Amino acid sequence: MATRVLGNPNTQLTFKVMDIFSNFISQHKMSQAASHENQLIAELNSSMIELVGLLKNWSTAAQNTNNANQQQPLPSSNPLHSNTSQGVEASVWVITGDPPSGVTNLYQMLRYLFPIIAAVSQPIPPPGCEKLYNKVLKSKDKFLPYCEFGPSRVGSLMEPSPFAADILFLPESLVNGSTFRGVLFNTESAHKGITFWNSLAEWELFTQEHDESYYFAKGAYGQPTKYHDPSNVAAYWEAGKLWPTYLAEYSHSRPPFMAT
Amino acid sequence: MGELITYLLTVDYVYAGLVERPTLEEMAQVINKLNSRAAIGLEKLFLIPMSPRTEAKVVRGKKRSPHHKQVDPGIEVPLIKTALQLIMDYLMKNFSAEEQAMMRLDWFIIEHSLCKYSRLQKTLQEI
Repeated sequence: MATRVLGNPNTQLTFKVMDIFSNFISQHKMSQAASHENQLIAELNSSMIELVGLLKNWSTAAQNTNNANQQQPLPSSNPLHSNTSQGVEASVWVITGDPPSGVTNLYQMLRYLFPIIAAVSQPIPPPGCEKLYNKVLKSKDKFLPYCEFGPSRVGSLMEPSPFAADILFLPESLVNGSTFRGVLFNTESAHKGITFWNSLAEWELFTQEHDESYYFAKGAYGQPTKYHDPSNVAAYWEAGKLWPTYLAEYSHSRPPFMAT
Repeated sequence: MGELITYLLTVDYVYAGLVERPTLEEMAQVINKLNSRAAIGLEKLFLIPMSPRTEAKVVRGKKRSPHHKQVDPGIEVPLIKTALQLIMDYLMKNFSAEEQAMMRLDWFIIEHSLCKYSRLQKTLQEI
């Protein structure tokens, strides 16, 4: 029960709360177990006090584990490397091995779908996952949780790419990157790697030569919005002019995520 | 440019090596601010409390308005942080180092997975 309570982030129980709880129990202990009922209550109180003590020990042990973990070398791309925030709930399951079911459900989805990115050729669905695979394989952009393996994202990295190292600092990178995200995502054009234009005139010619469904899927992100629309591309070309100036502000460091 | 598209483009630039990776705190703020499928995924997994954004859908049985109510960041961001940390810890424990490298496990993968979970929940429940 304790694991379930502390493992549930919704409860937001802290050990300060548990201390207050412990004091309350100590002050309200039955002095004399006059009846069988009172005796049971006294035993329960005693168990609860032990439980509080146990939880405190877990907290200390978990903190030690976290400290030890932080000293272990992790890959530089690992976000935990720079993170020092460790919740009590996060600590308790490390000790008890009993995470909230939501976490295991998410893991299970990732595990079921992992063969899709790991398979050299056609992935074989785990037993019972045929329907899931049919759905995900029909639209990987929409359903595949491994974002770097979606066909649009893969297409956006084909040369010429808005995200190629040699053009990252040029206006064309931001313009075509915005066009990719703001128009092309989850279309045949993106899947084929056609995500780069050298001018607005070039883009306009492309749109005249192709049916709109070739380069624009209205529901690509769910509900349509004004921000996902081919009519915005002209504005991207205007905004692109400011891109080098913006990046120049960060000539000695990478722009922070939230500022970008 | 909308918040979702700005976020996705910024992620592209992180992968390109141009922009700094977000911290856990920043990622939690982004999920709260986007107030979209990743947050709904966390709700569906019971990792954060159900909020007005989902309650409205459940009560009325209609599609959510695109201008659904955002939850107070002061309340929700710490909960999202805890949930993200729990997920990251568990995935790191249960996927091998090789698998983590192959899927490029990071905060973005978790955010993206939460979005997809909210889309795939019904199909997953049938397994």
